[in-house]
Amino acid sequence: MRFPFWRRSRQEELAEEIESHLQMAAREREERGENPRQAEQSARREFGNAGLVREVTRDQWGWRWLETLLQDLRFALRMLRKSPGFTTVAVLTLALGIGANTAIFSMVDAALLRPLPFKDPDRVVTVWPSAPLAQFNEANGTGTLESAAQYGQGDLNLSGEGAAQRIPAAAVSVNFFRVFALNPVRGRTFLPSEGHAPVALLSYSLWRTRYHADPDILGKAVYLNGKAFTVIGVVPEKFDFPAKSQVWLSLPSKPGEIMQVFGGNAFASFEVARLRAHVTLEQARLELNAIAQREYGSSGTAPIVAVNTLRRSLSGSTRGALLMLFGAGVFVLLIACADLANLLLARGAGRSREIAIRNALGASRSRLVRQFLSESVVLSLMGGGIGLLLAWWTIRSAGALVPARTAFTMHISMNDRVLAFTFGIAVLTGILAGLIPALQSTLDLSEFLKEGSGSSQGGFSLRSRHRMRSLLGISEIALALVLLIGATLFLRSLNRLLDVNPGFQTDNILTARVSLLGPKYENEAHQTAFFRQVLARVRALPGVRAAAFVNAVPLGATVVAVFPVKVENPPRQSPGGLDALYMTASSDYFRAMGIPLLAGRDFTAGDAAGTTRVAIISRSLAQAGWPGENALGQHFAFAGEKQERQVVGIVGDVRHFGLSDTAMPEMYFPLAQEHADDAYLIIHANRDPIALPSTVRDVVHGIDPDEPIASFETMDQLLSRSVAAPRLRTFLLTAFGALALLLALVGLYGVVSYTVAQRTHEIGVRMALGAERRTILLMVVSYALRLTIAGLAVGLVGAYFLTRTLSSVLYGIRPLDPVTFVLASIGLALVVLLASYIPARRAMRVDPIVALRYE
Amino acid sequence: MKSRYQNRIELLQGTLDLLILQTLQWGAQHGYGITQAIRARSGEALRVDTGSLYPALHRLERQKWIAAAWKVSENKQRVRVYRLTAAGKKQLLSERSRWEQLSEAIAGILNPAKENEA
Repeated sequence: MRFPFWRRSRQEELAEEIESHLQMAAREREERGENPRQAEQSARREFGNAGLVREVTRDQWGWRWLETLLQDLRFALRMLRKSPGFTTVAVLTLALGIGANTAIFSMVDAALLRPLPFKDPDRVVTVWPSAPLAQFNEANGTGTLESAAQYGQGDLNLSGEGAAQRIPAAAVSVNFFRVFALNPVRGRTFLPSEGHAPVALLSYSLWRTRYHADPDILGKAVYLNGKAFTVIGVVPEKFDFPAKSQVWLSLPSKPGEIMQVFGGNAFASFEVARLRAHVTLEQARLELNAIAQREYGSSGTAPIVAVNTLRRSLSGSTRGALLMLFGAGVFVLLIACADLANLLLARGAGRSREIAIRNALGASRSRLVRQFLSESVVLSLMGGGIGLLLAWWTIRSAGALVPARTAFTMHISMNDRVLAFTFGIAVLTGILAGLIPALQSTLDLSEFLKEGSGSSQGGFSLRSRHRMRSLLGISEIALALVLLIGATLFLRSLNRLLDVNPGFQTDNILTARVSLLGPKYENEAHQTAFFRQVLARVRALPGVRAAAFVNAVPLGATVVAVFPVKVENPPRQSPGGLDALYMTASSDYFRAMGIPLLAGRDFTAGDAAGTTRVAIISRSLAQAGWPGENALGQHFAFAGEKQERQVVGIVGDVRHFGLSDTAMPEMYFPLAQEHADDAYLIIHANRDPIALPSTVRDVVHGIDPDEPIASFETMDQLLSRSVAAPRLRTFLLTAFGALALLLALVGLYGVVSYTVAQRTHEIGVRMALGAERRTILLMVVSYALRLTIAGLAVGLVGAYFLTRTLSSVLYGIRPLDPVTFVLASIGLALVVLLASYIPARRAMRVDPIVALRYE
Repeated sequence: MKSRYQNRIELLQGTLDLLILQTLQWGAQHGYGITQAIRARSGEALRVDTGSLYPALHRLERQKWIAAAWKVSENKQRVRVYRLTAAGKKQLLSERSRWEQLSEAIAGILNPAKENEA
């Protein structure tokens, strides 16, 4: 089809064609003896509505819809320019609603919607706990699983060729890449015989950046924590599972061997598997649980095996939080929609005369409806534009909702998917908000003209319009109440979370990370000597109460190993052993952190390399390992190892991974008896340790000028970062709640004041007949009250069903917390009644004389 | 207003196209001329609504069954004149035969007695 650049002249042609028709008709009438004026008039009458004829004729031309659209948009812009107040309120309302949704969608997009970069992502599942899989040959699989693999993750120092750098690395069993059906872009993956062989695969980005896409990378050596590994392959771009790994090593079979490479800071024993074709998740669950029951059922401790898609496991709690916020965003948008619909209804009533006249002049009803819709769509597109700005500004500070170390996630960005989403919801919002007012305003057009002078505010379909406004008001209150209840629940949950005792102190404690890079610290004696010197000098600094080293700070970002341990005979625990956190610490660690020593002793200088291997354990580990007995003096070993360690002390439990997680059993080993190339310096000062970092840096550099000491953070900062995600969630939902409240307020104010304006005449009559001002006030307020009660009732039912979905992200509070429900309802009711009070007062002050003349 | 339409026979869906094509068969004509011709030849029984005529003319033009050109009339007035194209003639033939089949069929239903007599 050609674009109608000739359209204008063609329009003129059509006009001329019709004009010639009229003239010919008139001339013929003249020839029959009518006088010229009469002839022309009858010719026009006979012709009918020339504008309508022109329009339906133009419909035959093809490009018509586009032209109508442009015309409608132009007209819409002109109408909106004429009422800047209305336009501003409407656009801002929509900008808030659409902006909120865009911001949340960009987070959903970054965290949940990214395609997973390997074949059949829905067939890759995680299995937890992995016990049943330990029973079969991973390569051959089970009835439902085609293959399975173990993986662990930790940070390693990469050296050789260029500056040393710390990178996330994975240790995986040999058929890990078979589970993902992944072919390397260079080289090969692990051979079945390469369990614990010194070979490695590199990530695509590491190969590109550090090795400049070296085509001869295969066969070269890379040094990880000082040990040489031969590069055998490069993994495809974007594959960074687990936890943004840059290097994949082959997993050793025993936990102790992992530590030789990873030091203390590694996870072990997570399991991924590939479902056989056409096998459902449920079938795999049934089979694995049956295996677990067969293997462990007799000892009464068969674990329940959870099988989930990898996609689901990766998004974890983020998914719930984001979907919840997405739902909240939709609610805000619906309220904004209702607001706009209300505004448009009021405007439509004021324009009924204009509409009737345009109809009489030949605009069909569908054309008028289209015109109304284009006005509301123009409004929502403008709102969407401003909403994009708001969203852009919001997401810059919202990174905490997307975990940084999760594989396959990307930075939150305004990409084309987000823009398309925003455009889509803007158009949808415009149509949704505009449809009802458009249909209402164009009802019974001919009726209006017949009524002639009519009442000032459009005398037709008044009742149905009033009912529609009330319904919109009620739904706004209901939606706002659900959001308010959600926000209140989050606020109360956050409060409880912040009240939790983490098991250690946070005041006046400074932490700093020390990485012992390079060959000079490969020897454990050198490490120990360095740690001892630093501690001696830092403890001597003025204002330092205690100082110590530990491999991982509670609430810090370091990856910590969890190892199964076996208590000496008789074994009382499940076959896999007790899982406990692996910590290494110097003496004074517990004093510096304020962790109570419950029994036994702290580490001393005597717990050195070569002396009896000792351990301090947390109370929960003592209770699990030696229930009803004194754990002091007892022995235990890592599962699969002979080396025994003696319990010399018992300390309080610590919530290592976050305030909302229950404390995990922990075991501490003396720094001097373990390999530890990555440690945190903990300094407990007498007052705010704000000035300490530079002094401490000088001290460390006085001992080794090349030693980097970095990321100084106080425990208070770590604590506040650990609650950043719940805090941000709470902030966003509270903001949505506040937004909903504001929008509902505007909407209700609009409904009530419009009702008052429409009933001015009636109020005037009532007052003239002797109604008291108070009665009038009550009349208006009781209307608002009826709306409020209806809205609250609907909202409470909605909240009853919707808040259940929040239970996984709430801490210390039930989703159906009655206090929250009552508080939110009362708060909303008060605000709404306040909003109706202003128009009610206006109604009360109506002067009967003026009101009666008003018509 | 309503009385104006009372004596008019509503055109069957699709017959307007046939009437226009048939009218143009006798010679090129402008829109007004077409209405007058249809009216005259139907003995004033058929009046073509301009709201149907002009859309139909423009639709037929788009289908290339008729072609339009501006001419100057006897009264020195520019008028848009339509003529039948070759494709239009074919279309006219097929529409005519369809119409004849239809009217025969309807006649058969309406006058079954006649057939018996014959």
